[in-house]
Amino acid sequence: MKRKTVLFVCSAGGHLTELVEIADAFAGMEKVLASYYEDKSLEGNVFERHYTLQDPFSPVRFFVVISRVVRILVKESPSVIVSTGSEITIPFFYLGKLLGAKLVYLECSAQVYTPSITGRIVNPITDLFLVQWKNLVGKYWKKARYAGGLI
Amino acid sequence: MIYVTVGKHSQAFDRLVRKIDEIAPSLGEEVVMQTGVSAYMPVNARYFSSIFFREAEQFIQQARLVVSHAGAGTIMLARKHSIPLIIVPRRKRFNEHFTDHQMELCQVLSEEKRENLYVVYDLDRIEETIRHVLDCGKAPVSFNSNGRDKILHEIKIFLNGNI
Repeated sequence: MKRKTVLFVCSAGGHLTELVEIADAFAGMEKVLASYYEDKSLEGNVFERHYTLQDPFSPVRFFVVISRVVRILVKESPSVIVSTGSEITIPFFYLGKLLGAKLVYLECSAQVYTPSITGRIVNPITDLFLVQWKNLVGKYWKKARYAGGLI
Repeated sequence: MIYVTVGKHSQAFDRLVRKIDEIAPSLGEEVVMQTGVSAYMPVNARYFSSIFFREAEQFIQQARLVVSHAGAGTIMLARKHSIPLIIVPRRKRFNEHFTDHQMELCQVLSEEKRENLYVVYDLDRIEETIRHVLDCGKAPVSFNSNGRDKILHEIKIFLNGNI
């Protein structure tokens, strides 16, 4: 039987560091990464495949990025999409939801008292929404769970 | 070696890069800097704008001390490898970040008084803080991975019930 695919989505920097740190939770699944970060040192090591995207911060790029998101989602058909932010998560979560993926979001540990904008936007449709500081529980439209923090 | 890192954010953190470069000759320890998009180019330290994920982790592991912007990734890696850490928040008013969330993170971490983690708000105090950390030679604290274990547990329960 084909293994189920989990798509890891994040921008660069600490978002990726935190996402790599929780990758073990998805043991046994086929792990695929989509991020801004062009780094092959993670491929074959943590992730089996790696898609690099540009940030969508110009009107032209926005449409290029969205069409790429759609192609990645159709090609990989992930059972789960997991993210630690930031904005690139939004198209993956909303379009992935339509295609039937379960969504797991871990608010970055950099957010202590104030929810991130991405966190607020994806919270209503996320299936498991975790925060890393107790202060944040109750600050979202839908329930956020606090289990612990990475730092 | 002191590893200085300002992450991959799209705004510069010249204030920290410049200050460390100024004091680097008097620290008596090699300084290596990851400078991001900073316009200022260090003259007293080896530097690069960005490096691969695994290399960054190796620099952190090899360092006697890490000096960093208050970025969650570096904080997590320094804690994980029990390396003493000094963090300096990027400020919105200096156009160093979109929001002041690094201030919030610094506040909560200094309130928790974690061992081997120092917060510096005023760059005039960074030199004495670096000297203090290098001199005091405190035994590294072993990293407590309870938080990570709980997060993994929570995700696994979810996957078992839903996938």
